[in-house]
Amino acid sequence: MEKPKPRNKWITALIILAILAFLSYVVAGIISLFAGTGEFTDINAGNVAIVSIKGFISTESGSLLFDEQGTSSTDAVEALKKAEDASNIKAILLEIDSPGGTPVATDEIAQQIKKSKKLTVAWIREVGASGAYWVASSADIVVANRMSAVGSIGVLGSYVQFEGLFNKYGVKYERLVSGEYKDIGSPFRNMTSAERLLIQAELDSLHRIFIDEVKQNRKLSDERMAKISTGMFFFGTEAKDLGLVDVLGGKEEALKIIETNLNITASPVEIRKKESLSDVLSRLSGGLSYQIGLGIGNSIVTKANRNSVTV
Amino acid sequence: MKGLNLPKKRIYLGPASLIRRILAFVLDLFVIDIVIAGFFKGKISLMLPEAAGFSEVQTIMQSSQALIAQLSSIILAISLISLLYFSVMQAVLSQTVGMMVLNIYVMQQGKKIAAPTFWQGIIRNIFVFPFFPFFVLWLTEPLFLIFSRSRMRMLEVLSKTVTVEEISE
Repeated sequence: MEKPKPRNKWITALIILAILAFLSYVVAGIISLFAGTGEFTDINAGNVAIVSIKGFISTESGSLLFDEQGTSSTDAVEALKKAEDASNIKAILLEIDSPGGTPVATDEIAQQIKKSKKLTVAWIREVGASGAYWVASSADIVVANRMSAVGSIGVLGSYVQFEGLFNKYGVKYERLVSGEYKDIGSPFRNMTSAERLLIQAELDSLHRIFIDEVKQNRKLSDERMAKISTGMFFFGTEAKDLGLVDVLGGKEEALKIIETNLNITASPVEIRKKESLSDVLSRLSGGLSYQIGLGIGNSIVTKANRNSVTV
Repeated sequence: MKGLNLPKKRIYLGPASLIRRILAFVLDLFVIDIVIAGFFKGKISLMLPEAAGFSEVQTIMQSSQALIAQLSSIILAISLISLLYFSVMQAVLSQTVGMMVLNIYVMQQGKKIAAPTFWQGIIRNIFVFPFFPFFVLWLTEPLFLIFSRSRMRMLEVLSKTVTVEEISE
């Protein structure tokens, strides 16, 4: 057997290696573009860290293509910790525009705010309701627009139940459980009176925790708490009268408060997770899908049935 | 000793020795580390702290599904390009860089003297994928190589290729 004799084999090898190296460079670049690193934006410049609490608050933000973007408590807590650790940051401004969220996620953020030794100001924009108000109340000062929807100090556990629909189409729910209340809250059957009482008791328990937190944070009396903890929301002006809000205004007023309290010139810097290309596409897609759904929903619901408040 | 008409030295290709094959593979791993994996190291170091031990890495990986997905993408990319390295080099030159240094070759089996085709290269080098079921080959291939009479890997038998070196007598 004779060996083959390729000419200039080392030059050929170098050419192939160069092509593979270039391919690796391109693929690495594409992966970097699409995959986030989990890093936060640089906050070396500035002295007021802005942390956004927008959309539904949960432990992990929506990762599905059609999810509306919300706030992940994991990310929010990490952002707050970074702001706390940064020596150049003198105050933390929470930009809140959220209808609330899950109890644990909300409490995680609220507890982190309360741990902060820096001045914290909550700036409520359109909505600071339910869990979002819980978060806002944990700050030292709450600023809201006169028309911001604030409060909604209550707990929601409602769900859609399909037993009637199933009966209509001859669909049966086969209940196989070990443990009487294992399928409590199942959307496939009616709730029994006993189950209703049990769940209501749990919701009431959560509500009491919520009330106690706001009472402690805002230093409100029991009588005042009884009045405001019906689940009702209040617009900014009334919320201020009720003690839920300290100052009426927007970002400018919030920054002025910080400047006055700390005797500094506020230089805000937003702290957020760096978005990868896939995050941007997901956010745009989610937002677009949400708006499409909203449009379809609005066109189906008649004017008489609309509950949204608009000006 | 002029005029003795001694027979010329005969050089032929025979099965490559185990040591040469192992050393060639180790050299190839270095080449892959520098030429291919080097571009991904920056990204990996952002995800995993440099001084992280195995348990720390495991904790970090378990904390995030997104991180696992990203690392898997990087590993897959490195594996695919490494597979290309082995397959293309062997198809074009019958040798990888490590084989060139150790003077061993990959040939098609049979009487015809030819470099393997690209697809034969893919089959014989598919073990580079660190995913199931390919990583099972990391155990079976060396065992097959050491204990088989033909001194061939299982994937070499499947791809109908053979690794040879110059033997002179």
